[in-house]
Amino acid sequence: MDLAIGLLQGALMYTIPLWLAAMGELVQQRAGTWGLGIEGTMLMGAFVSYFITLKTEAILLGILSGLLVGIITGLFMALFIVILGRSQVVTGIGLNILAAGLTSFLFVELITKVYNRVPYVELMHVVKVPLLSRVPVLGPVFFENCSVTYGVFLLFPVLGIILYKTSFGLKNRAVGESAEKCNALGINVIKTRTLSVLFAYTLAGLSGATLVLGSTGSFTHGMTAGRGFLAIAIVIVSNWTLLGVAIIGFLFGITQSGQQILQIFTPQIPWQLLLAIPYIFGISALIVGALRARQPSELGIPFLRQR
Amino acid sequence: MKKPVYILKAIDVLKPILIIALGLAIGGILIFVSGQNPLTAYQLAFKVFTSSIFKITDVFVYATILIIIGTGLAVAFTGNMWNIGAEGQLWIGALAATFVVSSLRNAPPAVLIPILYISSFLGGAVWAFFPGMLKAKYGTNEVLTTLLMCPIAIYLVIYFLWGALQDPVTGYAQGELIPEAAFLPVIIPGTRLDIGLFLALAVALIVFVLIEKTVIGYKIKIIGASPKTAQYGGINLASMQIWTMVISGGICGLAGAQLLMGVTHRLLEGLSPGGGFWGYGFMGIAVVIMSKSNALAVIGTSLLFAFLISMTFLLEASAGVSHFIFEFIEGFIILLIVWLYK
Repeated sequence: MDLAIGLLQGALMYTIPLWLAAMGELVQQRAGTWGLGIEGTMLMGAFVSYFITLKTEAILLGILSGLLVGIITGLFMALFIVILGRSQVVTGIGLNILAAGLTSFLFVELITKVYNRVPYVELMHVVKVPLLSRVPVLGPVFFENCSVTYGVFLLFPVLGIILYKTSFGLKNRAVGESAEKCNALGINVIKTRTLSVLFAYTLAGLSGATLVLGSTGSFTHGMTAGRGFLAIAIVIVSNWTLLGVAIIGFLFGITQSGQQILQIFTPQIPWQLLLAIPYIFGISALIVGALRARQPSELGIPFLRQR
Repeated sequence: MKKPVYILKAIDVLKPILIIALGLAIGGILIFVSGQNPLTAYQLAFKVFTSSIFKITDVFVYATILIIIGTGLAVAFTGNMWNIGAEGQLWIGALAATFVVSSLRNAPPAVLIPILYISSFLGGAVWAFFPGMLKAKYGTNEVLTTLLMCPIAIYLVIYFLWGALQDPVTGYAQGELIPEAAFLPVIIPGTRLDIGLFLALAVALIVFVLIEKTVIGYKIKIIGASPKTAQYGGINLASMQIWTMVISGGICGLAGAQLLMGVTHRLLEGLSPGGGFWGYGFMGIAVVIMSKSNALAVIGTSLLFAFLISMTFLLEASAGVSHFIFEFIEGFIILLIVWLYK
């Protein structure tokens, strides 16, 4: 039983940042643009939240700074992708490389060279939900978490309502299917898409912060290790649905947690293979996704006003 | 009639120079943020650069790699196949070559070197075939598939470095030193500049001719410009897409052998920097876009970029600036390219 609890707790810890990034990406992609730069944004959110928490010793400021990083990056990406209509692919990749270089450079110059070690920061405090946390197995897994995790749980139904039950959400989904028709109907395509991009990157920044303040308490070079891309794979294989994101995201978490346990218990399986599993899963997800899924009709096509 | 073409060409040359210059400038800003004087740092680096022929020829060593990758990507991008996985193809090319060289340790250079280049080509081609096939058959986005194949390639290489290909001499998780016969002959003694440069230039020329003057090049251009037109014109779209990826991947794979035989002389984790996320394969993307997918322009752009690489490595060696600044500049340059090129 303890093994099951350990597996699930590990899975949830791995899943939370993925869920955040995937939810944001889902909204952005439903509105018609690829958010390939969330990997770099997660990384920058992670570093900034680590740095701020280290210097101010205030976890809340760390979280907020992660959000701020996401907002600023989102504004920038919206300018490039939505307003200027440039290549979503190359912009995303450029941002990721810039972020990796920036965070590693600042990490070396401002942390390693200054402290000669990697100082740890305090993690977010765990809050036990009374009564519910005593439920066997599920209790300790789902009801003994930090506030941000509970926030993520709540975000699912809230986002679901906004996306599927409000006119705002309808506009978001519509501009990804046919921007021209929406424009003819008087919907401000640029504004809707910009908001979706902002949402995605803000969540990505927060996701990075949870990586640091929720699990490790420190920063390492390239610590996101492709999670941003996995989030994109999750969105695709979930057939661009919120429920799919929840399920597939958790599945990824179980895979990762399971792989970590396997590394200990079955050392005969090469660890490099186990580390590669998320990426292999990602590609398989993409294949499966391409076979059965239906992506938003105008995903990737920039809306350029030729008036 | 002549003048407009002339002016256009000048801008095409000025843009890459401007971009590289801006890259160095933003690097300076970052150095300043980290508390050092960028001017002294750059001065030191430049002094070291001009002081030795080894350092100056190193620009051509890096350029060789970039020319190969840039050319390989030029093929793919011309066909509108977004091969973001050049890095992975490079690694698998190096892996394939390492396997071959470990069983042919006693062959003479005239046999060994071409065989290793060919094996790396095949390695890269096979690695690119898979995403190409997925795109052609199922329409799977090749950007994500080629991208995800990069870390898989790295882990595969690391697996073998810890196992079958582990160095029996030192016991470290690196490949065995390749036999002297596989060391590429050096052109200028006392430097690392080897005949690979000629190979790179030849490849660029061949690809340019291939794309501009041959039927297959024409087909690649068509599927790149308009898949529908290609199909109406009787071109098998799926088949050409796969061929484009395979050729592109193969050429990028060559870069792996070039690094193996000319620079590191063994397979190891630092073969291409960045652990599979920002190495030569990605720099090649910046190069090919700045060159507008023109294989000949790639030569010039690669030299510029290689100069940038040299300067940043020297910045670390002489002024102690962390080498990660290069990665930052690389990303910044890619974004500049997106801004300045449609």
